[in-house]
Amino acid sequence: MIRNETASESAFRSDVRCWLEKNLPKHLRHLTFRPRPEEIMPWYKALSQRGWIAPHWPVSAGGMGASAVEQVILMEELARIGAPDTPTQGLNHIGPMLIKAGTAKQKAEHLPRILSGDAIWCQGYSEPNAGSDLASLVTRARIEGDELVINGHKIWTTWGHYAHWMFALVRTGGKRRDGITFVLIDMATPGITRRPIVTIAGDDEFCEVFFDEVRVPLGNVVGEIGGGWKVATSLLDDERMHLGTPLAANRALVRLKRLVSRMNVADQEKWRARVTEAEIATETVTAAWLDVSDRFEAGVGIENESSYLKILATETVQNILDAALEAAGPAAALCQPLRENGQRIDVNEMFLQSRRLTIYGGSNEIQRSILATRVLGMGMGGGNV
Amino acid sequence: MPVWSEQERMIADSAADFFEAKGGTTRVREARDRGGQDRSRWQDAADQGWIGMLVSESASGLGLDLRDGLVLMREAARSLASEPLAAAIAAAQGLAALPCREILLEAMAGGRIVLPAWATLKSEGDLWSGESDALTGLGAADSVLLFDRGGDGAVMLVNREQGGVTMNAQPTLDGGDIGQVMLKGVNAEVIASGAPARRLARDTFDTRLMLEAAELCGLSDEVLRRTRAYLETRKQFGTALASFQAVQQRMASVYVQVAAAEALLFEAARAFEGPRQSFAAQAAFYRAGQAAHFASREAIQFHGAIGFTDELDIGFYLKRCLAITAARGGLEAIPAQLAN
Repeated sequence: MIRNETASESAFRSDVRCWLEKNLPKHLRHLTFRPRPEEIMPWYKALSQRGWIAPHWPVSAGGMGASAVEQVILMEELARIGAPDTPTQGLNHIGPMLIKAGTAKQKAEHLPRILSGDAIWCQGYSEPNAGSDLASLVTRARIEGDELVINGHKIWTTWGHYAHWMFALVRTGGKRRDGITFVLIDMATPGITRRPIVTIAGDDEFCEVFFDEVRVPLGNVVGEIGGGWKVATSLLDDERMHLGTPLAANRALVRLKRLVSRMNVADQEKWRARVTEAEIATETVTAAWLDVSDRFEAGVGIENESSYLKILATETVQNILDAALEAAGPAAALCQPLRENGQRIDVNEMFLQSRRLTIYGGSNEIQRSILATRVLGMGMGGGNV
Repeated sequence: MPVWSEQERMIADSAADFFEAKGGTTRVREARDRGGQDRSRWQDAADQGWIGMLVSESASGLGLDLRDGLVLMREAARSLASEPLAAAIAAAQGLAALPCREILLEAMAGGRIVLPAWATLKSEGDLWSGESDALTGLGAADSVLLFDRGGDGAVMLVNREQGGVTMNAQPTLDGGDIGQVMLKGVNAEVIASGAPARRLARDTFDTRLMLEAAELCGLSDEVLRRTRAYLETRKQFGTALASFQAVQQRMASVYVQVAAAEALLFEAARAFEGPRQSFAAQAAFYRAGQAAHFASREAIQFHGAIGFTDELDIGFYLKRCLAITAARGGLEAIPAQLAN
């Protein structure tokens, strides 16, 4: 962050830095892939107990109610020490949705367990034939008594094979956006089959999920039957803000710096400008994120503008990792990360993993279409620029 | 785009009205054909109080802050004003920190154009020699507030008519000009030196850079606006160009870079008077320059053949962007300079 920090912000930063140094186990540092639940969840719970797991949640819902600046400080410090990725579907997606649209019972049942790390969540939106065109989804649910009976197939489900719960969009009737229902599904329900999918990066980050006569209580529906599209899209700007945070850019920058730091002095000299350029790029993402957060806070219309954050953040990460790959030299194609002086130095894992950033959460092509048509008003006979 | 205060909105509106009333983009053609600045235009800007906008009210300025300056320059850029307003505002702020009250009043009133410059000078006794970095708008300058990078960081004021001083400039593509101040055995009085002088040199440099970055952001936003309007009216294959996805995707890419540069600009303003001030100013200028080059090139492309003509103003935005960034030695060198 380039802005001047207030005294309390600086104090918060050093507090975070010290605590992380003391509490983040060495073997969990500078990993690329999210460690499996048995490894990562103790760390998640440690962050939770410290009160830092949900900086963006309101205090009334058990969150930190942190300012945007405090959130950036947390991200920067987590990246700096090489903290691992934690599962985020609960914290960034279903949590905020339940806070906004859930029943009192749903909130009481799920929010504390998301915060504590006792429940891992996954998102059941995409299907084999419903990706960017999500409204074409065909996983069906029929109402029988006080239950929904679900049949169908979800795919690209991040951490679906580890999740305890899924929030899903299913078709209870109608066409396109009408007739879609938003439902919470206990993954232990009979009739659910999960199959992990290995990514180009070699990890099994996501999976596909099959539903065969899966019975879910109607009490698990969020919003109205047939009103799921509204629930799912009511927080789109909020979600794109999560896809547009400076966390990943900071992590990529740390990787680039670690690769440069193992070069000989002359090469390090040559790379200093590239590293600085990556720093400028990272600070640009931070500035953009803080700017949109400010506008959110002030209630100034930012509808769909957050698409620009997603594009900016994800493409910045990919650009920095392109530089990192070059900095790795001949080691860039190795199967394993480097191990030097007891340090693990990633060469290509995050590069490969980051290819998904411009695809998921609404591909960057879709985001550009949104910007062009809804923000620039192109091809609509008007605009607000 | 940051949330603007009421005051910032007023500055933006009055600046937009002012520059439009003063001829809008036709000014740039006049300046080019005339081959120099029109002094009456400078007087108009001075009459608005803008030269002294960052000078405190107690020193007869407007007492506004850097953010206000960014808002002003962002609007000024829409009409391609090639006067060195950014440099003059930074110089006035510098003068206000020095025992130069008379000159400051003259500068703020528009009677004397004072611009800042940086140089590595040699001195023999009281006689100074050397040449400054390239300076835009030098052609019309009456005086230069000169900061010596070497030695004791001496600050001095040199005048066009002064013996041993040469202030020659060459015209640039944007209707402005660029040149270097040359000193040959000039007997100049040192107004300040040492650590405070170096700090002032840095602050003045950073302020000017930020104001120029704001110009780059403003002209980017303007070409985006003009190009969008054109794409909406121009029809081919029976439909507006704006409806083609290939065009939409590229326009969205321009929007992303322009919006990001603006966000960084206003974030950088929050870094002032702190440890990352200079990094912030350079970074803001770098990204604003990149966005402006990208936006103005795409703008010409999307206007098609008409965009390639001198008749249409759109090409001037690329030229203005080039003039601003070239004066800083281009953009490529910035990360390396920052790293060192």
